[in-house]
Amino acid sequence: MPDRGAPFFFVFPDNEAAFAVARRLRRSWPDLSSVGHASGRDWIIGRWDGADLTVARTGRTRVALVGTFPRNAAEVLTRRAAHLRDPATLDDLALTLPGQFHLLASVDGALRVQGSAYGARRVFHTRTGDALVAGDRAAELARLADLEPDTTALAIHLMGMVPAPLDERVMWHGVTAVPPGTALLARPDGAPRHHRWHRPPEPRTPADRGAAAVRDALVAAVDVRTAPGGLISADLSGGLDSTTLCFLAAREPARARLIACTSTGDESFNEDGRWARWAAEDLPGVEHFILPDEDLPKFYDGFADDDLRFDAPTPLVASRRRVTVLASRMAARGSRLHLTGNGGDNLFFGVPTHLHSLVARRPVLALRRLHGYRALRSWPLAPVARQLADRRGYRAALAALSVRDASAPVPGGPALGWLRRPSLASWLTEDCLSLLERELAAAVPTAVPYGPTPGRHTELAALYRLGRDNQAIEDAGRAVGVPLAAPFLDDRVIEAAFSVRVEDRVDPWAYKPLLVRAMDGLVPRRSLSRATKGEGSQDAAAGLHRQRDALTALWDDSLLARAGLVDEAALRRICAAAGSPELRDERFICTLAAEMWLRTTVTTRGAIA
Amino acid sequence: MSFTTALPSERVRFPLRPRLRARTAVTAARLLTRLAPHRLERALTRIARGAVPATEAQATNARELVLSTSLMMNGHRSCLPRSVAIALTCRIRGTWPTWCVGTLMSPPFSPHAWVEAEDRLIGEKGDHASWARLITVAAPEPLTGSRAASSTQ
Repeated sequence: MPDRGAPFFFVFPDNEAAFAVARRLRRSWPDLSSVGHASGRDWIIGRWDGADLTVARTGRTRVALVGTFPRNAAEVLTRRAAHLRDPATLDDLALTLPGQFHLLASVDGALRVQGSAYGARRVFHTRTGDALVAGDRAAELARLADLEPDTTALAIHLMGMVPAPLDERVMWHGVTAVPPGTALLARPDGAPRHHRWHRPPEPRTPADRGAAAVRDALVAAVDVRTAPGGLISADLSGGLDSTTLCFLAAREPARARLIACTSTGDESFNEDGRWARWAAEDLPGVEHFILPDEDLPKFYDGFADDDLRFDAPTPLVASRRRVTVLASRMAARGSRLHLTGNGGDNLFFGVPTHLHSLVARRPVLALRRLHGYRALRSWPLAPVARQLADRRGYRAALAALSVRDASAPVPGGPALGWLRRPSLASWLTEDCLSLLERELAAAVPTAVPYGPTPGRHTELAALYRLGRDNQAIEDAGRAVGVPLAAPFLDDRVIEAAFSVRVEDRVDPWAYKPLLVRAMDGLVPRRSLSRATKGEGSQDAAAGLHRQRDALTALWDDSLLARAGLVDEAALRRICAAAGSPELRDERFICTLAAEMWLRTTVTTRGAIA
Repeated sequence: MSFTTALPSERVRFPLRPRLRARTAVTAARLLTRLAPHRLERALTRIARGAVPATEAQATNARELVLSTSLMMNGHRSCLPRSVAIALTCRIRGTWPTWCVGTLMSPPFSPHAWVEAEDRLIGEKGDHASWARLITVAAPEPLTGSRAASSTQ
C-alpha cells in the first residue's frame, strides 16, 4: 500500500539546540527519513518518496533537491558542491533545471533553504526553544513547535482577495513565510535571514522568440515527469492547458504510457467534452477515459472531510471530491502520476490589468485592446477611464481600500488598478471588520507591490495564491492514491511566459495567443482553435442546494464564531436559503474553508503523520 | 457552462446592405432596451406585427450579421440589446424570431435574453428545455392558415 500521507520535511541548522529537537522528533516518529550534516547531526528530517530526494556530498558540503527534478540532477549538484564555499552563492542553480523542487544546502553548518521562484514550493521557519527549524509545510512546523492558530490571520483570510503584504501572513503565531523567489539563509548558530535569489523577468521578449522558449520549457517540464516511464495519467478537460500536456506527454510513447481523462459534466451546456473527444481522436495510442457524468461528485460533496491538514484554508474545501475523482480512478488503474493543467490560465489567459501600464507605452494599441475588453466583458466606460487615470502607487491604493464600502464591486467588472475593491461578507462581525481595518492601516506604510506595474503585481499575487492552493490539490490527490503534478507551475515555464511582452500575451481577440503559438506543430490546429472555456457556476449552485442542510447545521457550533469573527445566526439563515447570491461567490467558500481549516487544525494538533 | 474567452479574430465580412440593416437594428435595439421591461415587450409585440416566423437559418444569419457589425454585441452581458437587435434585423426583411427573456431552469437564477426559431435556441448554450421563459414575443399567428401552409411546402 502506498504511503498516503503528504510528504514534508524539516531542516535543522548544525547546532546542539537544533539537534536536540531533531533527536526528539526522530524518537517520537521513527519512520521519518533523515539526512545528516557533514558533522553527523540531523540536517533534513521528513517523509518523501525515495526518488524525490537527491543529495550531493563533498567534504563539509551537502546540496540536496527535494521534489521533481531530472535524473541527471545528481551530477549537476555534485559539480556545484565541489566548489561551494558559501550557500548564498547558489542563486543561479535552480533555474537551470526543469521541474518543481526545493534546493537545500549545508556548507560548514551554514544553511540554505529555498523553495521555487513563483510559490509552487514554499519555505517557512519557526523557533522551538532556542532552535531555528525550517520546513516546507507551515502546518508541520506549527505542530512541531506546538503553536496556536492566529485569529488575525483567519480574519484576513475571510477578506477573500487578500492584498499584499497581508497575504504573506502565516496562519500560526510564530511561523514566518519565506516569500517566493527568496531563500532562507542561516548561520550554524541559527540566526536566519531572507535572501532574494530571483526576480521575475522584464517582459521584453517578442512573441516568436518567447513562444520558442515557452515551448522548450513546457516540453522539458513534461519530459521530466514522463522520463521514469511506467503508467501516468493526465486531465484532458477539453481546455487548452490540459490538452497541451496530453500531447506533450504522448509525444514520445517510448517513455510513459498515458491515459487521458475527461469528465464532461452536462454537455448541453459545457463544450468541454466535445473538445476533449476531438483532442483524443488526434492522440493515437492513448487511452481516453471518460467519466460518466453521474459519477462526477457534486460541488460541496464531502466539504466536511477533515483528514488533510493544510498550511492555510483552501477553496478546495468546496470541490475536493470533484477535483480528485479522476485521480482516484487512475490510482485504481496503477497510475504513478497524474498531470493537471493548473496554472495555464494564470500564464496564458492574461490579465487586462497589464493595459494600465501599456497605455503609457503604446497608447494606440492599448486603447484598441481596451475597446475589445470593454466589448467582450461589457465594461462601462466610466470606471475604465477612472482606473486608467489613477496613476498613484501601490501604497495609495492600499490606503484607499475600505472594508466597509457598502457598494459591492460588480463581478466581472473592470480591474485595471493595483487592487480590486474587497467585497466583504455580511456575516463578518463588527470585531472582525475593526480587526481588518487595523491590519490594513498598519500594513500601508511599508507595503510593496510584487511587481513594478499593476499588471505584474496582480499576476504574481494570483500565482502565489495558486501555488498555495495547488499544494492542497496535490495533497488531496496523494490522499486518493496518486500524486498530482502541475507542469505549468514550474519555474522555468513561468519564467519563459513572463519574459514575453504583455501585448503578445494579453489580447481580447485571441485566446491564449502565446500558448497557441508555442504549441503550433505539437498540438493539432483543431485543438488550438478553441475560444471558449468551461465554467462551473451552475454546478456550484446545484451543490449548494443539495448540501444546504449540512451547511446550515455546520454553523451550530462554529469555531470561527467562537473566535468572534462571524455571526453564526446570519450564516445559518443564509445557508438555509441556498439561493442567496452571497453564497455564490468566493465570500462563502472563504468562510467555509476557514471554518474547516480551523476544525482540522484544532483536532489534529500535536500529532505528526 | 462554456463562455467565450476571446472576440472573433476573423470577422465574417458581409456586404454593405445587410451591414447597414444590422447597424440600424443595433442602434434601434440600444434605444429600445432603455425601456422598462413591460414597455419593451409591448413595443416589440407591435414591431413584430405583420412579420412571418423566421426560420432557424434566417435567425442564425441575423445573429452573425449583428455580431460582425457591432463589437459591443459580442459581450458576455450584452444579451438584451443583442437579442433585440437580432429580432429587428430579421424584422427588416419581414420575418420575426421568438424573442425571449428568462432564466435557467436550474439554479442559480441567471437572467438572460435570446431568440429562438423553429423551437431551437439561436447561438445559445443548453437546449430548449433548460431555459424557463418569462417573457416571449413570437411572430403573430397568421390570420388564416394559408400562409403557414404555403411556407412549409
